[in-house]
Amino acid sequence: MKTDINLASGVSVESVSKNKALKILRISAIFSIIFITAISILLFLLINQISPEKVKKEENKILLSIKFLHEKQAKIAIVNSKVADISKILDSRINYESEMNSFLEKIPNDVSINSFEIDKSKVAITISSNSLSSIDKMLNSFFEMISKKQIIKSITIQSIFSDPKSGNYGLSIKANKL
Amino acid sequence: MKENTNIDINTIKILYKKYKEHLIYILVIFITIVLFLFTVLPRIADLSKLNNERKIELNKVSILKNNLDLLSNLDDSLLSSQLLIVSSALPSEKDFEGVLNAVSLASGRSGASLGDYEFQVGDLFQRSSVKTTGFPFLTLVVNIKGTTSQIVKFVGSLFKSTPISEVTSIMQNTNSATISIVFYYKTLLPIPLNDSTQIVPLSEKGKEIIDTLSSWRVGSLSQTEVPVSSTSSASPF
Repeated sequence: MKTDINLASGVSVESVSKNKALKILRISAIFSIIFITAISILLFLLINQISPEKVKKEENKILLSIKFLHEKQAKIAIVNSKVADISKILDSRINYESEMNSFLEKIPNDVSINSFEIDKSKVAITISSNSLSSIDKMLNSFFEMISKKQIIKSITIQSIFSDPKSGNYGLSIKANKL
Repeated sequence: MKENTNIDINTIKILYKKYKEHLIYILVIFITIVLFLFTVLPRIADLSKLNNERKIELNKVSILKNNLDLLSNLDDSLLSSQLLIVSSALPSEKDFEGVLNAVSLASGRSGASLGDYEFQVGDLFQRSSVKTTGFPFLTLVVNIKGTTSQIVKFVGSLFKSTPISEVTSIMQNTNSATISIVFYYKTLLPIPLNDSTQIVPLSEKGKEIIDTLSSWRVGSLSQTEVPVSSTSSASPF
């Protein structure tokens, strides 16, 4: 059986394929116009929505209001800066009152202080007493301070002296602070 | 095999007539492609940039709003008094009057009497001194007459007085002591007011410090109003 018989004329076949191509082109053109229009509108709306211009207007409005409060702004900035500086100083200060008291309360009543020197790194005390046991008690208290790691870390006895006339004993010590 | 094709004007005209409608649509499609490539695509690329800009601006506005709220709700008189307190505690320049007042009040409170005192002023001295805080200071070496407990009280009183001071060394003999004290000050540097920077309110620690300084000031003011009998003899003024 023959299957390759073409009843349509050559011109008709060409016209059909031309029309088909035209149809495809037309649809593509319309689709592309719709696509470009839709995407343009969408973009316009999006850009309008996220444009920072509106925010900038609000920003300028607030800036204008803040302009009248610059004095307060300067004051709070100064207060904050000074407080930070003061805090640093207060934290770094040594409370010599409590340090001196810590030493003085360990010195028995019958021991008199000839000299007392204290600074950031050391404490030097010269005492005298007619009671050796009181001096011993005082020294033990200082050694206890070292073992408890309270203010001082080491102690050096610099000199011991006695006055046979008055019966007084003297002691000069130097302690290194923690 | 190579074929030579000659296209003359007539052929073009025939082709044009034949495919006239096609050409219009092709042109439309071409124009939309060009539009897409050269106008739509760059705008799409700009979207993320715009979004970032908007985020930055929104962040700025949020900071500005917070700043505005904070500044509007600040009590100006309270702020002024806080400024006064911190300025007297850490003056912007060498406050000789404040220093002498503090020493005098400490002497009055402790009952120790002031002897001679010496200010050690000048850059040369300060450079050679070893300090850890890094703030400029004014050194005062003062001689005091009094018992050990009075000297301890004097040191304690200075510790709680303004301008802020720090005792650097104490050399005590039987009934007198030489105390070296530094009084701090700090020159106020110009503070740039940047609106887009978040204004930090006074912290709780800061409030505590101001309250402490204020209590020291109240103590010294009441001391000035009702002087202790020994103050008059101890005061160097």
